[in-house]
Order: sequence, then structure tokens, then C-alpha cells
Amino acid sequence: MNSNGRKIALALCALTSAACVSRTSPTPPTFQAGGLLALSTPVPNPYLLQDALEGVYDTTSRFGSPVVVHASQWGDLAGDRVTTAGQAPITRVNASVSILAADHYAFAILQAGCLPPSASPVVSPATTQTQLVLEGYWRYLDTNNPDPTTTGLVRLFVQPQSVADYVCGAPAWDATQPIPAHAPLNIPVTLAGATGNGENLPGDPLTVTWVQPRKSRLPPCAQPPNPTCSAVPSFLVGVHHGGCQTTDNCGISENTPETSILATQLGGEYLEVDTRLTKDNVPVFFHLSLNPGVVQGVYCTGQVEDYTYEQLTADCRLRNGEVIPRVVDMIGYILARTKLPLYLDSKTSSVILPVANILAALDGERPPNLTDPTNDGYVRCNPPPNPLPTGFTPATWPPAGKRCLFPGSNTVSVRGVIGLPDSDSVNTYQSEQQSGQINSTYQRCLVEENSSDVTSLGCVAWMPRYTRGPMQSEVNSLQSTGHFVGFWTINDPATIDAFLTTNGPNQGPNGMLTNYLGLLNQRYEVVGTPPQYPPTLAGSP
Amino acid sequence: MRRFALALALVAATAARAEAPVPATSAPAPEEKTPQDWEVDLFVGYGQLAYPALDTANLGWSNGGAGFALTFAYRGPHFTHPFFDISYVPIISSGKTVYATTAGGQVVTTWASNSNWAWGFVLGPGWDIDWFRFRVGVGLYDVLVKTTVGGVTNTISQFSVGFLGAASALVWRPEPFAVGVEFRMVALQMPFTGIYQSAWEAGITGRWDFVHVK
Repeated sequence: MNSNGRKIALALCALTSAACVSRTSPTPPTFQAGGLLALSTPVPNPYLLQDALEGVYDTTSRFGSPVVVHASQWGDLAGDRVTTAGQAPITRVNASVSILAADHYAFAILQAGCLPPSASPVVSPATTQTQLVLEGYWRYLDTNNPDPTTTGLVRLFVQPQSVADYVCGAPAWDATQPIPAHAPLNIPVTLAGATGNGENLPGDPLTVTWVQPRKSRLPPCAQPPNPTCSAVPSFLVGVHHGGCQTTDNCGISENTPETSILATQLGGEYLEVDTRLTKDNVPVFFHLSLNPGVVQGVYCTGQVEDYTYEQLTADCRLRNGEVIPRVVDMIGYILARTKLPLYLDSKTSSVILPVANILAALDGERPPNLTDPTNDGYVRCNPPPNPLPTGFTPATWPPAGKRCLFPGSNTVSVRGVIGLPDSDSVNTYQSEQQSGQINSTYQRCLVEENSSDVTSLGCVAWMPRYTRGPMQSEVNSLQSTGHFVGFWTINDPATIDAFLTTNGPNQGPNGMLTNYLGLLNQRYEVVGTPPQYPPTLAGSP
Repeated sequence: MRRFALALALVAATAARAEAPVPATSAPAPEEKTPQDWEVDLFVGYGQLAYPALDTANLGWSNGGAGFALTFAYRGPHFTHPFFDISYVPIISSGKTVYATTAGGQVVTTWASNSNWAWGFVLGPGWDIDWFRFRVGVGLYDVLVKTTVGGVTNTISQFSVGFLGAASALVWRPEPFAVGVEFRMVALQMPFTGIYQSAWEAGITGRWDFVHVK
């Protein structure tokens, strides 16, 4: 073969192997044998981490400054168990601590443990006191293919000892007890330890030093507390599809139940997820087409609407191995494990009524479900409704056969908001309202396009695309009547800052959807001010 | 992406070299007119999935299938020749026991059979080097998936961008015909993603120069 022939052969080989899509995603690094957390006991009261550690901090390396240290609570499987009359299954509440940064859109997710003195020989320096240790992983999100230069392990110890004693020496709490009121310690805390690269043990020193408490999200009228003013947060960080996009390779695929936990850990406060309808009318969560960037399976191609649900589960897995979830399953998971409000973005107008029906069935407090023994919907167990519904006493609440919402959660009807992204979905929603198929007393909606549709449909929120600009007069007009106004989807720090500040203090939107939850949390702490009007209905969109 | 860029660069370099002017010589060569041919080619062979690798451990059975292609090409004085290729590409057929979830949420064990094939329409350059022939092209592929689960059959069609690479050895050439063996690779790509699926084919090819101009 002559020289040209060899080049052509080489070119053919290169072409056939070029740019192949990997169908599976890497997983975050973990400590071998569970690290020091395996030698520790869980913190006895998960709510105390918030009081002890939350704040704005400076760091000496890896994350830049300032960063936000965020504490979160999330639940476990017990939320799936049904109640017996007057007795709720005990949901275990877990706690995480996260470092949220703007540099490299970095974050760290850490679990806390109380390390007894008996474990001190493995700790440097040895100690005779119980230490509060935080272990987990860090990640830079400005690159979507994590490698040892962009992800690794973190191990930090909480100082001073008085804070460790406050957390580790507290009485045990479980979900049968009232949720402790948030009472920040405001003690300057230092998190001292190290970070590492990839699976290597942390060796690069890191000190995270408390600077100030986090900014309030309450409207100006509530600062200082004013009994005539709502104590509902007026700025919320919105989660686009989940805590992390599938293509960012965080180990969890977008639009899955598990992403609600990740979103909570990363400081998300309401969750936008996408609903579609399969060929056999099963509402599922999925964003666009069955693209190899987000699904795996040789036979998984086309649109969700082309498949029956059985075929979808037979042929398709999400990038990290998950099944495409049914709406009813995933909403149940989120209701029992987080407090997040749900913005259910209707990708087709045909999915609106089936999703509304699912929400209606899942709300155990909604008539006639409350007294229907065959309904296993979700009710508030901790705290219970105040006042209790007619016919119930503390001894008979929760009713038998229901399931408990996550502690501190609002009702299903308040949390489940149907998103209407275009005129077709607005028209469908309106006709379902008029025909009585959708009960406006309980079902809440969110409009993305025309602000006038918000009031005409009785929706609670407006969520326009940010490229339309700040639209200050429309924003303030809706906010002044108790509506939530947010923008989708802003990922650029400069644009986030612009929307938080352009119209002056206390004039911004009530929320933003973003792919970078840590970034938005950090930017709010640096430049944000709470909007003057809190949204009604418990601050959720 | 670097490999892809290298491939394109090599193709471009080859074409550029072919276009380079012939150095002047002191004595003019005797005038020789290069023949021009319009050809039609037929490929028939067997093909199957190359990438991603099949999870054969969980499959009851799997195989590729028969593929074919019809190609039109023009061979002129230039070193490269353009071609247009219409092909049927068998990618994979398989059957397996799956754990599927019904519309009602029950997880069931059931039998699923699937097949995946594509119709391709590709343009590109080719090169004849002695009795070897190489072709690369890009085009549109209609990728079809047929799925039967729980007795319900469904067929889905989706268009993808596809790349074709073919290498032939025309071992028997009784003019105006030629017959030989051919190996083909097809790589499928969706917008904004990398190559997500590829298939190989091997078989026999025949060429007929149905127009020959001397």
C-alpha cells in the first residue's frame, strides 16, 4: 500500500472510533472502609448541625472565598410505611453539611459523625474528647467529566470543642418529637482538615473559617420580626431537573427520586422536574428525547411517548442505571424524604390531568381521602395539622393507613404545583378547570409565558425565561398580590448577580432555577437581598 | 475529538496532495486521456453491532443480520471519486428475560425481543488504489427499533447523523465488472452527542461500470 493508502486506512480507523459516547457515569469518590465515619456514631439530633455550623466562611484552598456552609435534613425509607391510628412510623432524619462555592462552581457534600475518644489512635492529633468529624467528597462542576483534579475526598474536624460537644452531647431526637426551633449558635467555627484528589486520602490542608451568619431570606418587613409580617422566606433557590445535570456526571441522573436528596444537600429549596406521558398513559419524569447522553440501552431511542411503560423499563436505563421513574412513585419518595415543593413542568399538555389526578390521590388530607380507608396518601405527622381536622384528636392522628410527609413538610396540595410552559398547556389546564376535572381549590399551577395567565387561571407563580429580561413592573405587580415570581434557568454568575441586583435592593425575583445550586446560594449571600413581598402559601412556588 | 480531527486532516491532506500541480518536465509526455466511469456497486453481507458492547450475559440470544447497500459513484481524472450510498444496516436483534414495571407499578418478569436496524443515505469521497477501494462518507440514517414486551410490539423511528467507512478488495476484475470483498463500519451520532452506536458489516461487493468514456 502506498503512502496515501496508509493515510486513508488510518483515517478510517480514527473515524470509526472517534468521539464515542460513554453510556455510564463515574461515581463520586468514597473513603475506604467507610473512613472515620465508620468509627463514629451519627449525630444525635440532625437539626443541631444547622444551628452550629451554617454560615458564610472563608477557605484557605480548593473552594475560594467566601463559601456557604449549608446543613440539610433528609429522610429514609420509613416514609414509605403506612400509619396505624394515632401512631406514625418513625422516620429517620439524616443530616448533611455542604460547602457551596462560586469558584469552579465547587461543592462538597459531607456527612457528620461523632468520633469517640477510643478512635483517637487513628486520628492525628490524638484526643481524649469526642470529636465532630465531617467526611465526604468535593467536586468542581465547571467540568463535566470528573477526574482526580476535579473531585476528591474531604475530611474536616469541627472546632472549637464546645461546638462539637453541643452537637455530639445533645439528647437523641427522633421524628416523634417536635422539630427543634432553629437557634443559630453564632459561635465562630473553624473546620480544619484536608482535601485530596480522587480516591487518595486527603492530604492538602484546608481550613474553613466562619465569617458571618447566612443572610436572611425573610422579606424586609420581617426584619426585625414583625408579627404583622409573614415569616415566609421570599427568595428560594430553584433546582433545575435535580441537584446536578446527568451530563455533569455527579453519579445521580436528573429527574430521579434520588436527585431530590442531592438537591436538598446542595441548598435547593424547590425542585423543577419534567413530566411526560408514555404511550399507555403512564406519567413519568423525563426531560427531552431518549438521547444517549442521558440514557443507556441499545434499544433506547426516540421519545418517551413512543413507548409503553413496560417497554421503557425493559429497554431503557438512565445514565446511572436508574429506571425512568413513574410520577406517582417519585413524588411519593420526595414527599416522604424532603420538604421540597415540586414544580412539575408539563412537557406535553396531555400529561396535565393525569398528574393532577396523582396529586389528588397522594394528598391524604384532602377530602374525601382523609376519611377514605382505601386511600394511602400522605398526611402531616410532625407537626400535625393545627387545628386537627374535624373528628380527629391527638390520640387518633394520623389516621390509619396513611403515610407521613417528611417532618416539617407542607401538605401535598401546597407542595405539588403543575407547570404550564406554553399556551397549549395553559388552554388545556383552563379547560380541565372549567370541566371540573381539576379542582382549583386544591390544585396549584405555575405559568411560564404570559403573566396575565397567572391571575386568570388562579395560579400561584410565574416563572418566565430569564432571556426576556427582568420585567420589573410585571414582577412587582404579581409579587404584590402574593404570587411567586422566579426565572429559569440561570447558570452564569454575572447574570445571576444582575437578576439579584439590577432593580435595587429588595426588588428581585422570589427565586431562580439553576443547574448550579451552590453557586446561586453563594451569590445570594454575596449580593442578594430578600424580595419585599413573600409569596403566599408557605413560600413555595 | 482529537482522533476525529486527525481523521479529517488526513482525508483533507490526501485530497490536497492529489490536487497538487504536476511539476513541469522538459519533454512533454504523450497526451493520454484518463477514462471516466459511472459505476454502480452492490454490497451484500452480514453485519452487527460493534459499539456499545452487548451485555450478552443477560441476553437469551442475540445476532446481527443480513445487510445490503447500493452505491453510485463517478470515477474521473481526479484521484478521489464521489459516491452516493443507500444502505440497509442490520444492527442487532436479541431476546432476553427482563424485569419490567407495568403501568400499574408491578415489577414483572417477562420476555422482551428487540431488533434495531437503519436505512442510510450517505455521500462522500472514495479512493481506488490498485485493486483496493476505500470510501468514507457522512449522511442521514433512519434508525428503527422494534420492541416486543409482554406481547405488545412497538416500532420507533429516529433520524441520526451517520458516518460510513468502507474498505474493499476487488480481487476479480473482468471489465466492465469487478467483484471482491468489502468491510464496512457505520457510526451513528445524534445532535450534540458523540457517536452512540456503531455496527460493522462484511460481505461481497460487485461493481459495474455502466458508463465508460475513454
